[in-house]
Amino acid sequence: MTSFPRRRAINLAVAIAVAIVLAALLTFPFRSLSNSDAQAVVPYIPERLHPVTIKTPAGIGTLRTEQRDIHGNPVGVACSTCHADSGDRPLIERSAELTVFHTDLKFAHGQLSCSSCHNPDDRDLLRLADGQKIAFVDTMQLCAQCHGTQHRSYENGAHGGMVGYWDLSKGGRERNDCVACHDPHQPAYPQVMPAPPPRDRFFNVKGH
Amino acid sequence: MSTPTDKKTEANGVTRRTAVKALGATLGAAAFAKAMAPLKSWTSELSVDEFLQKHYRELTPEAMQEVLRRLEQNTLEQYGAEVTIEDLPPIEGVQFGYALNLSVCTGCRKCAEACHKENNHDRATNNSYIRVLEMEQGSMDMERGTAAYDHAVPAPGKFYMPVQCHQCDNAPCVDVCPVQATWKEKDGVVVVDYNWCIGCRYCEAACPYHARRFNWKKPEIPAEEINPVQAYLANRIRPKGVVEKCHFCLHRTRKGKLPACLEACPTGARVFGNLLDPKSEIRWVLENKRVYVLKEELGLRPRFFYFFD
Ligand code: HEC
Ligand code: HEC
Ligand code: HEC
Ligand code: HEC
Repeated sequence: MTSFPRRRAINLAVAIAVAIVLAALLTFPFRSLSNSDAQAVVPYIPERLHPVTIKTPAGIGTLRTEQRDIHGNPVGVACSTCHADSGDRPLIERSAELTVFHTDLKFAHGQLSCSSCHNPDDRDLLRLADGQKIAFVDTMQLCAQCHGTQHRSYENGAHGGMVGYWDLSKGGRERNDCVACHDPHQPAYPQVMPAPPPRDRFFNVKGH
Repeated sequence: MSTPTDKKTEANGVTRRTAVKALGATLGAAAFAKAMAPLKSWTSELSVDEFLQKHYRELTPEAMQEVLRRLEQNTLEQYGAEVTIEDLPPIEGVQFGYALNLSVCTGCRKCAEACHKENNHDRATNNSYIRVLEMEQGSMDMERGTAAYDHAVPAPGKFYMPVQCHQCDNAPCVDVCPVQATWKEKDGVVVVDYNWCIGCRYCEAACPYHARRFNWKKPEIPAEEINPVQAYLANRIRPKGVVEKCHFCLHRTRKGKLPACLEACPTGARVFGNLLDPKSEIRWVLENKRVYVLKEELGLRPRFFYFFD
């Protein structure tokens, strides 16, 4: 096979190129510092003093009704109110099969079935792929099973956003959990109308 | 903390007036008059104190306090709003960096809107330090983006790239300023002394990211909408005839808070922090994501990065 070594050479060249680019990127913001500041800078690294709190949507794990409590949050009914005993009713796994109840539930999340997430034996809980039961407030563990990349980014502050302090020694942070932004049944982020565009005379870069 | 002495050593003795003279000599009378036009047009609003104010970096702490109280008083008189203007020095050991996830941004302009309010921009122009560009998928040429889109987002086949000051380490805008009214601070933020700027707009022309804005007129903001938490080099209301730009919300970030645009982002596309802290979120992004530098070929070494998932 004559093509094999050549392909390997190309792979090697690509690998070297990637390594160079990576090295350049990583040193890039810091290289300049050594130029401008002669003495070594002692990095300021805050001790983690203030907490990072993660907000879950109000009433998670209950069936929200039209009624509102004094805070304006919907009053929820525990799932077990109706699901204490499934009786002889055949278990439904697809939204299309819902004819009696939850009929407004729209589903567009790959080929997942209801039991991929909901625990059929106790509807007040969710279920991981390994059978472990978890509370609704721990939904992020559920999403993490299948969306490792986004979850890892989230854990490192690079997905999901935050409000508060970058410097945790001065104050805490609040974050949203996955289902605050993604409806678990149709997780695609919805389209919105944007805030109004700028009205200055040079706002449009295109065409000058 | 910066002391009066290191403020003095940083300034190199060029006064505004000598620089203005030199500029006149090299440009010729016509160009000089043109460059000075904004200066002339402010004289009515400019007090003697303001005209004689020394360069920010030459001010003693006492003189600085006087300037701040005067500016607060001016805001009260001209806008009817009680505000606090602070002089916030960079934090030792902190170098700010900012990154934005282009896979996540949906172009909703909430960041630009938050900037508009936070930084006391003129209401009529809906000005903001951020321009969100709608781009064709597959192209990273910002000159082909459009900021004027007004339809539901994200639109099919498009992606969105918010552009603001990149706080370059080799900032061309700083190099071209004839009076050193703009400079790079120790935490990496490129700032403008609005009381020193002569409005020649060379910096605006020099910026490849179109990140600088010129105040054509006195900003108009209703008193009750003015953000009263202000800083000298940041969001205090700018006079007419000067250039302004994103300062990484230093009136917030130098107190440990996140920038207003980051907090306002409903999609979580923005990441901010201390580049010198190896455990910071911004470092994690630079070390673990595919990071892209806009117009990298210019070699300006920005502090603003784009990344993809
Ligand atoms: C008011 C009663 C009621 C409440 C409260 C309720 N459900 Fe249901 N649920 C039903 C009925 C009835 C069905 C069967 C629907 C059908 O056959 O169309 C059903 C079906 C389902 C199914 C399909 C699987 C199956 O059991 O057939 C799931 C999953 C489910 N519910 C989850 C929940 C969860 C989670 C909650 C709480 C957040 C909840 N339900 C609360 C009445 C209820
Ligand atoms: C990807 C995991 C996942 C799948 C698959 C899934 N769910 Fe859910 N479901 C959740 C989570 C998480 C919540 C809680 C979200 C909340 O309340 O904000 C929830 C909430 C609910 C609720 C309460 C909603 C409300 O607004 O009160 C019902 C009912 C429900 N699910 C039914 C179903 C049915 C029926 C199916 C199958 C067609 C299904 N779910 C599939 C994760 C899932
Ligand atoms: C059992 C695996 C599994 C679990 C658990 C799961 N997902 Fe998914 N998710 C998928 C698959 C598969 C797709 C791809 C669907 C497709 O391509 O149509 C997907 C797609 C998505 C998308 C992209 C949707 C789009 O149309 O762009 C989002 C966002 C998402 N999931 C969020 C979540 C969240 C939030 C949770 C937790 C409540 C979750 N997922 C739980 C498997 C899972
Ligand atoms: C602050 C809101 C927010 C939070 C919180 C959030 N996401 Fe997202 N996520 C987004 C947005 C916005 C997108 C991009 C959607 C788009 O391009 O239309 C996205 C995209 C995704 C995608 C699709 C990626 C792709 O390539 O299509 C997945 C999967 C996902 N998120 C999972 C998660 C998980 C898991 C969590 C929790 C650990 C989470 N998200 C938390 C806003 C959020």
